[in-house]
Amino acid sequence: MNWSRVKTILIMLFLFTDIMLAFGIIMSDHRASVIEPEIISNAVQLLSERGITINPDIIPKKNKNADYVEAVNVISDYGSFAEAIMGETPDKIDDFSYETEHDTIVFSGDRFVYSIKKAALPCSGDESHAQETAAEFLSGHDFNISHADIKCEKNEYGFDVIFSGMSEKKPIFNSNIRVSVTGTEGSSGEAAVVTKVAGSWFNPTDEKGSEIKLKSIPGILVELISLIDSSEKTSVTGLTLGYTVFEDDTLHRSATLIPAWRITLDNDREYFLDARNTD
Amino acid sequence: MKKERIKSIVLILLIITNLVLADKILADKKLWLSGYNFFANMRNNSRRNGTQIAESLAVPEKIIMNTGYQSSRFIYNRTSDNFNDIFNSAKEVLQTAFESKNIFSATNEDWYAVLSAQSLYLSYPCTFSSNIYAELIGVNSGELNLESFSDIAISDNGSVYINDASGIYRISIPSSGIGEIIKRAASEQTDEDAVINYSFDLNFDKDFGDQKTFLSPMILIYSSPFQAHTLKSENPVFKDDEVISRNVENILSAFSIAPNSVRRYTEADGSLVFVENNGILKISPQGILTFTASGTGLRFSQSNINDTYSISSKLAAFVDNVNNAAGINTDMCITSRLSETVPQLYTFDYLADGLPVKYTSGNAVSIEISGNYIKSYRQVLRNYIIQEQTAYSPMYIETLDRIIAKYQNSMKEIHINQMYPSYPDDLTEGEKNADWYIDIDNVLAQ
Repeated sequence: MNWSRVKTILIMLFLFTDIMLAFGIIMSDHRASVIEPEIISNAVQLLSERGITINPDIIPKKNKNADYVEAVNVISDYGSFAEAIMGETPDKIDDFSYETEHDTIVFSGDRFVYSIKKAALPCSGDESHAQETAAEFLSGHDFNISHADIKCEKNEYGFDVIFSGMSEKKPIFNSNIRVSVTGTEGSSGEAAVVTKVAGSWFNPTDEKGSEIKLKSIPGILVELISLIDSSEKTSVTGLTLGYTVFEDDTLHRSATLIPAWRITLDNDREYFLDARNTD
Repeated sequence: MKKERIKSIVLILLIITNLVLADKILADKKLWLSGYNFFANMRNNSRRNGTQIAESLAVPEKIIMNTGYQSSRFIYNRTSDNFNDIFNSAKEVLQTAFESKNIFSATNEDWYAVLSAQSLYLSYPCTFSSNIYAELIGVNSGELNLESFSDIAISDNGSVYINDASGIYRISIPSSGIGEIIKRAASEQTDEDAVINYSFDLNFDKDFGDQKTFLSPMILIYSSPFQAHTLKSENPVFKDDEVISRNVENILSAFSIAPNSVRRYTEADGSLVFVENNGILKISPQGILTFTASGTGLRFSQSNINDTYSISSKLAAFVDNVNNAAGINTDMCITSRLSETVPQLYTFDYLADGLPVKYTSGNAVSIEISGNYIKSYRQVLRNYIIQEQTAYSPMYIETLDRIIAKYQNSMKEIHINQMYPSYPDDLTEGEKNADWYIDIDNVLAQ
């Protein structure tokens, strides 16, 4: 038997098979990632029949994948977090609230509200100064804001600096902190201090979670129908893919953040829907 | 030659690439048969070790061989050398007995007389109805209609005695043939092992005027301390503050919790929490697993079953599955009541080196069901490793004196329901030595 010729034939055969398999996989992946326009228009129509309008242009045309994100809560337990934020050992009022002579903190699940007792007063500092003050405060208390999205809003006495956590360019919906920077009693007119901090925050770890396939967005929109009263006329104004912790009414020291779609309606209501394809 | 070598290498690479691409298609498209996963089956089969609870529901916790010669008795637990042989012989006798129609009432004195003569006494940690026990040993229950028993005695003269809640019953059978078994066992034992009395032997269960302490008649009185191996208690999920992820993933699978759909958290106290549509599973750092179902619950039987025998068998298999998933090799037995009216609560406990493990917080496993669904499940996840080293228990009589001294001022009479060797576990890790377990009416003492 001429093994050389056999090898040549086998090489041609396997090469052909490999090309066919690779082509099939590439086409399959492409088909899986692209959403057919017909499917999107069907979804839009279905929503419209239930009194929900949506601009098709805001619907992504490609399916997405995401990774799980392992994250650690800045609050490991209420007592030690309160002590760290307040800078001294506070008095425990009950399981969810602490106070000192100067400030108070109240917890609810993963969320907290910290505020100083002195009344807020106007200050003359500018936006960048407020941002700097807020960032310094948070960084000094183990909030990893290096990748955070930062916005500033004027409030009655100064500024509210809003930090939104991000992971791989997607928002972490449970990492949202609003820091009020204003003047206060006893401070000079220009000095701006942190007078209130509210929200919750998870720091992503370096641990890589596994990749997970996500549901297509038309499927997510159809799920929305079951959550909204069909007698209401409403419209979808925003669709954002991010990460969340669904059960945030109890304290979680750490969590695996789940990919989720945030659907925003015109009445400012938000719905968070599990984006994972669990089939 | 060089050209041929290159061709060979190219061919091998193409074959490997072919296999990789084919595997990707198989995995993505899930082209294997629904419900079948060769690798998962291989993994499950390789994990199966240790005693399976589902196969040993009819196996007693201990067998006491009464030689008929004064207080000469031998105790066999599940780890004893001849236990299986003795039980198999006893089971043949019981199979005949449970199908028999020759059933008579008997008295306490008859019962004590049997235990004082040549006989075998089988002691169970749970109670059975006669129908359920008969099914477990593979026969029909015939004429017997007993509600709740945990003690069976087989005499060598051809009678089986059952100590039921409704009374004592004697079943007459052609012969039991256990005399030979007892003679052989007696010849293999040393004298030191043999002096054991029942409470009724010494009249500790009787009122003699000023006596204030009464022991239940079936309590065994040991003349010398018993010797038992030291155990090492291990938490199969948390070791040195690290989570053993493989065991956690396997436990999730045992509860049909899909890794892709579960939501995972760590609570402030370090407990792992897994939230899914059908319930919440939690594992504390102490190794306490709790599962609380949402909605209908977690189905434990594919087919609809509504009799205690089938349900208890399925639940025992479920617990076996959880133990296998967690890498637990320690023996377990069912300890709840198996009655004709289907119970809603089932409990199981560990047997380490043949002795029961006792917790102050309750049973090792407790399962609440509704129909064919598990509504709640709680288990102390532990592996008990038997060490070479042994230790002696405190003296029996000293322990008894200590209990009497503790309660005599607060109780007019002290009724001790149970007293036997066990391993007390306060849920800390490390070494455990055997000690006496004592149950006093509604007060437990150790």
